[in-house]
Amino acid sequence: MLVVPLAALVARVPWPELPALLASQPVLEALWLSLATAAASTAICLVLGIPMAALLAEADSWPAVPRRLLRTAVTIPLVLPPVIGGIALLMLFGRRGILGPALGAFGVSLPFTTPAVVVAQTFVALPFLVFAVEGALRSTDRRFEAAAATLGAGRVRTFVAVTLPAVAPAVAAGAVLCFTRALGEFGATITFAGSLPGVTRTLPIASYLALQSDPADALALAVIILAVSIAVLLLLRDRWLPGVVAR
Amino acid sequence: MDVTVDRGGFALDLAIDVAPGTTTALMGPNGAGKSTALAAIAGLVRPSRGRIVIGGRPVDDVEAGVHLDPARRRVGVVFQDLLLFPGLTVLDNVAFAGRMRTRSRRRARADAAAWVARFGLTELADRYPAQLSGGQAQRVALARALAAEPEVLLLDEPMAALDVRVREQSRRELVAHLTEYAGATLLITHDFGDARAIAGRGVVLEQGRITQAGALAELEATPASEYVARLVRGG
Repeated sequence: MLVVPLAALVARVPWPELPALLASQPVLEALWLSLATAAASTAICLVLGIPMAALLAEADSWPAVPRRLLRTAVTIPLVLPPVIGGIALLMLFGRRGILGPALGAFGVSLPFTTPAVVVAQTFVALPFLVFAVEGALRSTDRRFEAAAATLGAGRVRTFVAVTLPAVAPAVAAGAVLCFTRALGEFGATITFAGSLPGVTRTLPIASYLALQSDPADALALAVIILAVSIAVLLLLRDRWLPGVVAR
Repeated sequence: MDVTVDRGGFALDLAIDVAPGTTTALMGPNGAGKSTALAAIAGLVRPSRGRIVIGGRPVDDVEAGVHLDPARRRVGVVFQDLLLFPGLTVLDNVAFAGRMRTRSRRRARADAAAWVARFGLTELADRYPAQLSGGQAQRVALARALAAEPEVLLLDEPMAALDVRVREQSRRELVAHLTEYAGATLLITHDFGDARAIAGRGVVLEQGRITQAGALAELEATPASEYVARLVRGG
């Protein structure tokens, strides 16, 4: 069930024509756009996700209601259909959304731009990073933090100098999962950012659209996504995974 | 130091006076409250009552609402498990406190290199903690704690992790380093032999209370409890 559909996909790829298909302008555009936006959203996920993970790892001592609200807020993009996420983002940033008019006053309009692609990807990918890092933070030995404190390190310095290096493998694993999830993002992106060639038409969207007109193109695009995802996941070392995937 | 801690039905109540430049052994059976006392003095747990005064400065005073962060009370600790940072070399472990103070990496490392040399660790400066023997790791932990220039040094069972063969040498080294240290040292141990080798005075803690305090010779001559009598015989 895991491998057979992918094998079917690979079997139907028009291999002899593949180099020409891949070198075409729309494909290269979509590939570049996908890699750049996925990299940008992974970076944002790191900046936002690590503090959120630290907060969640500390939340055990909180009252149940705020603790569960926080956990639900972090988890919801994981279980929600991405299209709904896209609609939610439109309701926030859209022309008639809650923040849209205020941003418009500054001449900023987010939907249907490349930054909108990044926002949509960040929305769906963030939980992957948060959970990977939170799991690792929970299993770190807190006594090292105590040792750092007795050596004059405050809370922030302790986190940066002692805790973060200890969970670096989980951060790396989370970033890889984040990147691949962002790379494959479809629903939230097409809803919030549309499908403008070279601007918001990422690989999955290009692949889906090509399926309507030219299945060979769709297969070529699909095989790139598959290849990039596999390449990135192969970078994941087994030793990064305990506490991330194993739990 | 007056330390009073209530934690989960366990009460700890003690007053220990350690003069600068001297070492006092804090002894007692398992569960007597030695570790809690250490954590409270270091600022890692908050006392529920009373005061902890270091060098005339209250670092904890519950009634006055004073609780100084561990980072700001200048108490050095050599933990029982040493807790050397596994991702840092010997030099960077020793430089850790200096990095927090000066922000100049180069200066902190130069200062640390001097400490590393004093502890005979120069050849090991680039190694990681996992590549050290028990005795070497213990020296690094002591150098790291002293490099922070603490007013009070807490040693938590420093010999417990060492095997018998290196124990004697390790005691002698420790004594040599402590004679150069100007601050007050509190040695936590359940081994009277360690206490006799390293400390001048002793405080015995049983069920959260001091049952005897005085010169070690005094403890040996007139043990005040069953436990103290057994302790001095066993050492």
